[in-house]
Amino acid sequence: MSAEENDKALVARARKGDRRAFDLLVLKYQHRVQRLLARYIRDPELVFDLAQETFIKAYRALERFRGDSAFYTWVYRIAVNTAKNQLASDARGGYMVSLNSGGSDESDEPMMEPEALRDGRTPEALAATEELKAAIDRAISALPEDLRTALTLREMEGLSYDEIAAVMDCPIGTVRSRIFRAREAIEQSIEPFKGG
Amino acid sequence: MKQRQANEPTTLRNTVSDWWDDEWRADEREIDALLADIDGVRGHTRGYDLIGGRLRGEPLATRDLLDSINARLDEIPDAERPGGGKVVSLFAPRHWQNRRVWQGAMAASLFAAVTAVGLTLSTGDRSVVDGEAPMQAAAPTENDRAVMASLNAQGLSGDVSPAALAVNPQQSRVIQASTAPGNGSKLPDWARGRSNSGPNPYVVTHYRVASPELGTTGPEARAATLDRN
Repeated sequence: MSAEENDKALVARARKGDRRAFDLLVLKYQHRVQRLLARYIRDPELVFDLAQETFIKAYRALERFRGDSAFYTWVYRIAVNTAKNQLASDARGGYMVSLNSGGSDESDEPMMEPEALRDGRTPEALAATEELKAAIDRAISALPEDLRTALTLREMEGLSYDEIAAVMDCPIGTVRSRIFRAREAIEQSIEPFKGG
Repeated sequence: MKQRQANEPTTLRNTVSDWWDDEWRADEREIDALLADIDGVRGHTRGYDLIGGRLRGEPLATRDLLDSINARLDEIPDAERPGGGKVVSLFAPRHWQNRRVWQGAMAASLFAAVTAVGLTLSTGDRSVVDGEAPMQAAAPTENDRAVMASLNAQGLSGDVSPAALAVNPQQSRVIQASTAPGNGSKLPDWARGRSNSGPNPYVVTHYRVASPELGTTGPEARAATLDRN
């Protein structure tokens, strides 16, 4: 089964009442949905709320998912509509969430990094985030060249394993192994910094 | 982490990595295996998301929402959950719950009803000559002449035209009740239901009143006749 078909198989199971199947879909797409929503909404707490709302809506509407599009496309559409509804609701209420969250594109002040806002705006959280970033950077730098190249082509360039195999002139199984080993090594390095 | 990795089979960790990258070609049995260790999957996806996010320069602090989402899903009544609490009709097969199926059935029923009405109307009166509209006389009939005589008796002949003087069957015949604005209807009593003798049962009379702004000068009566032959 392809990735889309995997998702559809999980949807089919979730429709039959298997909540773990839906959990797996949430695990896969929750971070992407949050990042998508963060492009519309600046308030981090609201982003979390709307991300939850997106998946609740998706769950309730699973019976109506026809499978004409990929599951993630469908979920993204729900997320975008949820964000737009929120913005419209805020506009009717006379204020925009993004204006209340500090920083604007027109401001001369440097914008706070979004992740700083999302970490609760406390100095401790900010420091933890910086430590985590540094740990990831160190771990990536420490990777053997072939592992780092494979992971970078995958994560930064979005290449498929087939494409990476062509670029690196190696079998696809080797690409699979390199990416997996790179992740394992980095995960071990950042484990103490991951937190919740 | 090391402890967890030591306890997990390498195949599962490999699978999670492939699945995360949309490179997993699974069958149902492998999906079962993945679902059996959701917690293990969850631990890895958090790490994979952090790594990918950092490499792409994205904000790191997305949150794992699975617990809060599940808490809210638990509040959903069974009847509203997929696959749970459904009431299956005793009289319809399950596939009839499919929206497309019953929508198609409704459309087919509507089509059948319209077709039946059309067939009934088209075969109802074979005495009408082809090309001639129903309820339309081919020439002034005795009934038309009776209407004219009645109108003439009330002195309205100057203001009205007979219902069926024209013999062209394609034209509808109109009786202009009055050309003077504000005169109101000058139809005969029998046409207004005031006649003691009652209306001619073979005359069907319609009123049409239009506002002066539309250029109509007054009420008019439209009469159609039935051929008693």
